[in-house]
Amino acid sequence: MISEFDLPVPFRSIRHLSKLLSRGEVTSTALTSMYLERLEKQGRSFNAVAQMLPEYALQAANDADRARNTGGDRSTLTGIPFGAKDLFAAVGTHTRWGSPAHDDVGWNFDAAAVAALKSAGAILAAKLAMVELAGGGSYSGAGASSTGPCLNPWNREHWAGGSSSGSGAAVAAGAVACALGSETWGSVTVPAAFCGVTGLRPTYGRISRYGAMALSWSMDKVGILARTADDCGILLSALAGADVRDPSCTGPSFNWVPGHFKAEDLRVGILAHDMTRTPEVEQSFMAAIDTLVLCGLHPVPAELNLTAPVDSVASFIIMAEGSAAHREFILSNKLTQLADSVQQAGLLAGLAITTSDYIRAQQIRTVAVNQLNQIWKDFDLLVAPTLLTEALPVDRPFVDNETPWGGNGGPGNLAGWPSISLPMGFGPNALPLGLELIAPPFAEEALLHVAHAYQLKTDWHLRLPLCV
Amino acid sequence: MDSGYSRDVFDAAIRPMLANSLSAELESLLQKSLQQLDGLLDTIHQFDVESVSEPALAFQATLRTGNATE
Repeated sequence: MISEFDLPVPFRSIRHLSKLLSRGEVTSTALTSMYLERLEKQGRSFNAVAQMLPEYALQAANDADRARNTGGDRSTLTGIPFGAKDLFAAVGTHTRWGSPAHDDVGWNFDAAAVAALKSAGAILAAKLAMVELAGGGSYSGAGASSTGPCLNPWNREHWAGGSSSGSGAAVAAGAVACALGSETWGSVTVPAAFCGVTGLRPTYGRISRYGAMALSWSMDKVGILARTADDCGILLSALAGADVRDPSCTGPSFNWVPGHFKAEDLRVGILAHDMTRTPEVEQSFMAAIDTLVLCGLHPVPAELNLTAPVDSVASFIIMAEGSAAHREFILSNKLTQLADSVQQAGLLAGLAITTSDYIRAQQIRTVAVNQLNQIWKDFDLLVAPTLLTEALPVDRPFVDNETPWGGNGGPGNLAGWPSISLPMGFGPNALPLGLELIAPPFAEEALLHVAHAYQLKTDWHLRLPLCV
Repeated sequence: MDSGYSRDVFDAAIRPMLANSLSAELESLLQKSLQQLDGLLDTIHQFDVESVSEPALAFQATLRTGNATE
């Protein structure tokens, strides 16, 4: 098995980098310079960068080094460079939401998530590429971004996933230690799976969305892309907590302490997926289940007993809320500056949704969430392949993809459940595959313990892309 | 849901507010999106929300969706 000590420094975990900083084996200035160089070279070559922040980052790194040297307040994140999806506002940056039609939305303040990481001592090194407007109107291909198609560090002919495309690609390329992303339906878990990194989608309401672009008020979540589940726990500890500026954010604070957990007490369900057309996924998934058994878990088959049309309701609500959020822009003559014309059409169509139909969808959602949550009477955790497909080719429309997409994004996002995607192997084209663990609302601790235990017994998350 | 319902709503309520007229390509894509929206509406209206085991749930529709508490 590969050890983290075998990896080049850019690919080490936050936990490891923090130890290097504490021991004085590296300075934050050196670390930040290294990541800035990699963002400029590798990050830009994958179209993963929206805006570099070298002056700010190097000044902040100097401050972090001084804090460490003088014994001032410091955390595990002090001096650790990170990237933020261009959906988040940040002081001194141009926030464009991935859109060629938005020169700068003019939010010259730190989004709550950016501020929380800065407050913990982390250093914002770059704003990262994303699908324009987080893909709210749906989109036809990888090119739906102001920065062009975000390329996959495992194979440049394939897409990095979206909408947190740059966050996934930059972490995979060792261009940042970690990144902020967001998910409404799949925007963290998909790039995590495609890029072979670890992606945490916390519970709806766990992390404040203040200063983040709204796509769907009732479904948007701030997410994390990092190298390990342990790193996700470190970051979630800095990010979680109520915020009066985001009425949805009522969640409690979070304190991640890796270590012993009672695996035998956790009831784990395997969500059924038809993998007959994707034997490589099935093989990797069954091996992952075997590893979970080695971790002391006893997964058994599980099934969501649903009559409500969950995926349709989720699509409808995102369409209605996304078009409402961006109504003035959609009606303006700037709409046609978006890169993807399918997205233009989808945003326009969403304006035709009437109030009574939207409320009906929310009524069905209440019933659907009630049905979905019944599963937690029998289980504490669910496990499934994140997706049934590898990263899609970058030069072909998504509709041309013949492999079933799979995924658990509709139920999980409609109900606001937390989930984490972990690397679990490789598909037929040697591209990463993801394992998804899903938990009840606010049960991130169990989720992270199991994910951490899985990564202690595997090295899929330590494999490096050949392109970098 | 009648086929063309979303198109009718769009033409009556939205199209007059557009800053520009749409290109032929965008108009064609819009018609497809409106048809897809009709499909979603069909699915939503076919689900009898009052017939579920706990019909009172249907009157609890809220933007805070059952996960804001531990």
